[in-house]
Amino acid sequence: MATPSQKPTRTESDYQLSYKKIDSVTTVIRDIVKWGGIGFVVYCGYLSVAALAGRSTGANIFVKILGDAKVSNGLIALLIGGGWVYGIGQQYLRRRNIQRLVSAKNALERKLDPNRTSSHLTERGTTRPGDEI
Amino acid sequence: MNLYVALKSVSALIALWFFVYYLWRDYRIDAFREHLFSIRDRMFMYAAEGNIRFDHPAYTSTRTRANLLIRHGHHLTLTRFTIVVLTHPTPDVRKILAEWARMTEDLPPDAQLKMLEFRLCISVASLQHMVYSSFFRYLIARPLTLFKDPFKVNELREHPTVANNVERLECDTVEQELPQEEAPALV
Repeated sequence: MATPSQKPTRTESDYQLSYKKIDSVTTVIRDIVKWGGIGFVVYCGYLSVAALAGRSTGANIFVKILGDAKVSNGLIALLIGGGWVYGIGQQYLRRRNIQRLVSAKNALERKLDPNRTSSHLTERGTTRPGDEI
Repeated sequence: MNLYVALKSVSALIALWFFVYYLWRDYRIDAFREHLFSIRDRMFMYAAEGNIRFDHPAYTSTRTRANLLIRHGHHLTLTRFTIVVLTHPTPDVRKILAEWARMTEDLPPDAQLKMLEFRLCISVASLQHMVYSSFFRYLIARPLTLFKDPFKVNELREHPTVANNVERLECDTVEQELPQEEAPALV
């Protein structure tokens, strides 16, 4: 009578392969949601403008939009836009500050620990181009 | 439908899309790195004060882990972490604890505790990063932490099994994305 064949033990490469397979699928799904989402939004915008095709000129649409805009909406847009500009500006300043301070700090640390290891980020504390993918 | 309302909604959705996929993501990665840098700096100062040697295995392994997470933290996501949990065998926590105990046995008790705290801080930072890297998850989870904050070192200290599982799986997750020559450095 033939003995039942034993299930082979899974190796590290098998685990990595399973991981890569599922990760590839989830990455594709994520990209579909990301780019499909923005595509759908742009398409909706196109449809709303296309509904006026032949009835209004581009200049008419622009004047109508400006005419419908209220002062309160303008203030909200200003606040939101201001928040974005402020946030992005702060990020820029923080990265410039990292660039200015870190080299001196690292040199001092290296005096105490000559074998000091590094995180290998760029001088501004951002991901190295080769590490992005 | 009012054209103004339609176009306003479309531009708001485009702005939200850009915010969620680019600005928020970059912000969370920066915040994660800042968190890890502060832990690494505190550990460096602890060693500079003479509490542990710079070439002690407990120090070098914890620093290497922090460095690799700083560098490859953008690969650490909740989805990838979940995939690792599903595809990899459950880590042998007793083995990990024994290895750490062996590594730190020559240290005084307070240094052992301090080094364990640094490791737990890194685990907490990783967990926090995985949860908060999605803007919508952040909106749900952040208010809940006002009532019960799971991202506290003291909470994890009371659950060493959880902490060590997180550490091992987090290392496995980042390891999947590392070039072949760097993977063995993550211990």
